[in-house]
Parts: sequence; C-alpha cells; structure tokens
Amino acid sequence: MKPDPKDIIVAHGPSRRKQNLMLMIGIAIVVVITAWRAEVDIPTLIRDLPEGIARSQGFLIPDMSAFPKLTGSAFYTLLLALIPTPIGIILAFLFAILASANLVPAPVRNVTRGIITMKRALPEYVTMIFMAAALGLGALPGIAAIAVGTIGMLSKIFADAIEEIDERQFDSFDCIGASYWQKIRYLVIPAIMPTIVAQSFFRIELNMRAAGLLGAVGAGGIGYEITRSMMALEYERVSTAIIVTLIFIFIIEKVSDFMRRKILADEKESLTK
Amino acid sequence: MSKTSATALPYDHPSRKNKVLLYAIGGIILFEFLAFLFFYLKNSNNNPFRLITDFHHVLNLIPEMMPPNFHLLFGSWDLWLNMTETLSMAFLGTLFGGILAFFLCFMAAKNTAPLPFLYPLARTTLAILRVAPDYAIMLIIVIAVGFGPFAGTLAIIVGSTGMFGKFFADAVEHTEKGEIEGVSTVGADWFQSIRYGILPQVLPSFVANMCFFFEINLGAAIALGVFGGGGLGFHLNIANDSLNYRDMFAYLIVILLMRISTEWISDKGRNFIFKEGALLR
Repeated sequence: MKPDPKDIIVAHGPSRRKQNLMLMIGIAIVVVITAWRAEVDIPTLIRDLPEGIARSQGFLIPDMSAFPKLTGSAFYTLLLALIPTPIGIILAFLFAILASANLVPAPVRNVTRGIITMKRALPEYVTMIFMAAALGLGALPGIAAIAVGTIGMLSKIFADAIEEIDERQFDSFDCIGASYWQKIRYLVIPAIMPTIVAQSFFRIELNMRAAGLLGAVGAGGIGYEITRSMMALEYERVSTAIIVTLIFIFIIEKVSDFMRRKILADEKESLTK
Repeated sequence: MSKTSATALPYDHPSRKNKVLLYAIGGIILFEFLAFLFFYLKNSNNNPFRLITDFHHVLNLIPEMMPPNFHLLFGSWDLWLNMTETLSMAFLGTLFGGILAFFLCFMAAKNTAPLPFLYPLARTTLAILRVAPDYAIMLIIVIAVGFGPFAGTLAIIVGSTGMFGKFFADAVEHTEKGEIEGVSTVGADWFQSIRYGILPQVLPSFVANMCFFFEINLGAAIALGVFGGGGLGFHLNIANDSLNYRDMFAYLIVILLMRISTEWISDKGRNFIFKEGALLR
C-alpha cells in the first residue's frame, strides 16, 4: 500500500515555511536583546557620522614621507608573525599526537585535549599580558603569545585529522612489524601533510593580524605605529600605515596561495604515482 | 614510474622524501636563527633564552592571582553583564557582517557579477575591509560614535564583512554551473537564478563559516575592549593596569568559560548543519 503524501508531510513536523518563520522570530528576539546590551544607538550614528567623516578626511592624503619607516615596522610585524608559526606548527604536531585516540591511551588523550582547549580559549592578548608582566614589553612576549595561540588552534585540527585515519591502515603497519616511530613517520605524517600545509599558510595570515594587534598593546611594529599616530591625531600617517599593511598582506596572500597550491600538487603527484 | 630517469630516485622513494623533509626543517631552523638574531641585535632584551631563564617570573604571577576575586564572580551581576556585552558585540558583528557580505559576495564572484567592472571593484573593497586592522577601524569609528561597545560592534561588522565576503564569494565561484544554467533555461532572471540555482548550494557553507567566525569574533571583541570597546576586555585591561591580579583571574575564568562553551555550541551547530542537512532540504 502506498503511503498517503499528506501523512509524510505531517510526519516531518511543521512545514518549512513555518520553521523559517520561527527561526526568523528567534533571531529577531536575540538581535533585540544583544542590541540593547551592546548599546546600539543608530540615531547617534546617523547624526554624528557626517562629522566623523569630516574629521577623518586626513585619511585621504597619505603621508608618503613616512613610507620607508613604516615599511620597516611592517617588516618587524611580519617577522613577529612568521617566527612563531613554524615553532607553533611543530609543537602543535607533538600535541596532536598526544591528543589522538588511535596513538595514545584514552586518559592521556583526554588530558591533552583539555590542555589544548584551555590554550585555545585564552585570547592571544591575555597571554601577551602575562608574558609582558614577566618579560617586559617587546617582541619576545608577542612571539610567545602567538606561538601559544597557534598551538591551541592547530593541535585540535591536526588531532582531528589524525583520528580520521582508517584503523585498518594501522593494522597493516602492525602486520609488517613497523615500530611506533615508523608508524608516525610513514603513516601519520603523510596522512595529515595536506592539512598541515593548508592550515599553516592560512595560519600565517591570521598570525599577521594577531601580530598587528599585539603590536598595538606593546609588542611594537606597525600596530604600535597605528595606535600611536591615531592617538596623536596624525591621520595621514595612519593612512600610510594601513596602505603598507595592505601591500604586505596582499603579498603574503599571493605567496601563500602559490606555495600551498604547489606543495599540495606535489603531494597529490607522489600519492598517485 | 615513467618520469623517473636512471639517476633520479622515484618521487615517493623514502630517502628522497626524507631529504625534502630535512631541507624544510633546515630552512626553518636557519630562518628562526636569523630572525631571532635580527630581534636580538635590535634590542638585547629580546634574547629568546630569556623565555626559559626568566620563566619563573610568569610562574610568580600565579600566587598573586590566587584566590580569584569571588566577590566579583558571585557577589554581583556586573561581571556577567559585561560578559553579555562581549557576547552581544560578537553576535551582532557576525550576524550583520554576514548579512552585508551576503549582498556583496554575488558581486565579488566572477560567475554572478551583474556587471563586469563590479567584480574587481567589489574584490578590492573586500580586501581593504579584510586587511585594515580591527583596532584601527574602531579608532576611526570612535571619532563618530564615541567609546563603548557600539564602536566595537561596528568595527567587528566591518572586519567580518571583509572576511565573510571573500569566503562567500569563493564558495559562490565554486558552485556547479549546471544548476544555474538549468534555472536560466526555464527563464529565471538574475535574482531567481541566484535564489534557486546558487543559494541552495552555498547556504550550508555560509552558515558554517559564520559559526566558525563567531568564535574568532569573540576573541576580537575581547581584544577591542582593550582599546575602549567595552565588555570583558575593557575591565580586564583596567584590572591589569591597576595590578589587580585577583580581579584579573576572575575575568579570566569567565573568559575561559565563555570561550569553551561557545566553541562547544558552534561545533554542535556546524555538525548539525552538515550531518543532519538542516539547510540542505
């Protein structure tokens, strides 16, 4: 007997239109509450925006005489982002091994996962405050903070990638008598290499943003220049600094896109051959 | 094996792979050495070994933070209201950034740009929005609306519009051509071909991206508080500046709780969208 089409619709609960409506109403309520908490004030914005734009006209005329010095600061920030990235990736890989169920016993895995979660939840800015309280302001606490953030983010992604490896592959390595380290070298590393490459280059971009922010709270570099010029109302200089940042990030994006594509293509070639 | 000559080892030969890995590691070590040398010559305070020799200073902070200020945590609602402020900034920033990016992304995608000159224009706009640092945007907005969570919210909206715009436009460019052609064949105009040809394909990835970036925006909301954006970051900064480490620990506990629980929720949300196909029907 064929089921009545009406029954099928009833079995699926309320109709799609009704679900969408309920979702919209729910989102609207949350928006109203959050708008109240975030002190959203549209009338003030509309009233004062023209004045704000008029006052910030300095942004339109970048101060090109500061260009060489700001390029130096941007290079500083770039190094601030690049130094902790490989350190973070290598440490994240070690943490990932300790956090995957198919390589270590369950208690070790759960403890490591807890540590990783704590690390990820700590904003880079907070880590920076801690390090700066002990080591003084400068590049060093910034590097340490970005490295900790990188470890927290990447080790979870790597560990998830390791846990997705098929159990039978481990069995076959056991069959030919591979040791623990051989398993990691010839099974785990090749399996998560595409993830490592893709995430690492994306991470460099995120770290560049973080480095700018940390620079503003004491690590130096272009972030420091931007906040200082902003406080001194030197909008022309801020405008130049933003242009320099744009150029740097644009170059990084292009290079990392190129490298990622090249390395991933090589990996694919070596897998298919 | 066709590409291997008599002298060269096959590409996937273990010794060659080891060699590539060794070169990569060697290059990284050389780069780290040179970069640290650069920082050390700039300022001898930046000696990386200080991270190990002076690490006891970091550990010395822990007794000063104990115990956390319980009065702040449980005595009044202020701390928790500050938390909702930060959460609201991140939520509104993600939602409205997503909505703005949703309208921009179809102009920034090659296959749906209504006019050819709009494509590079929209892409450049998104790149500028994405690259301009959050705190710089906020300091500009502060000129208009003054310090407070509203300025932080607007800064997050601008920053995440740039981020989402790029991700959304890439997703739109990677859609199947056949569905758009199929819809246009039956006489759909530009809006209809997007609504019925592209939207069903990209909506899950849009929402998953927004779930993911809610977490990142939460971090940004805390950081913007430092520059006067209000919320937890603002109070954390004040506690730090006045060396009130016990207050600071209380704020840290709340930040950790907030981040861990939102990450759990957004993980569940993403799994729901992809596994249950809530938006795919």
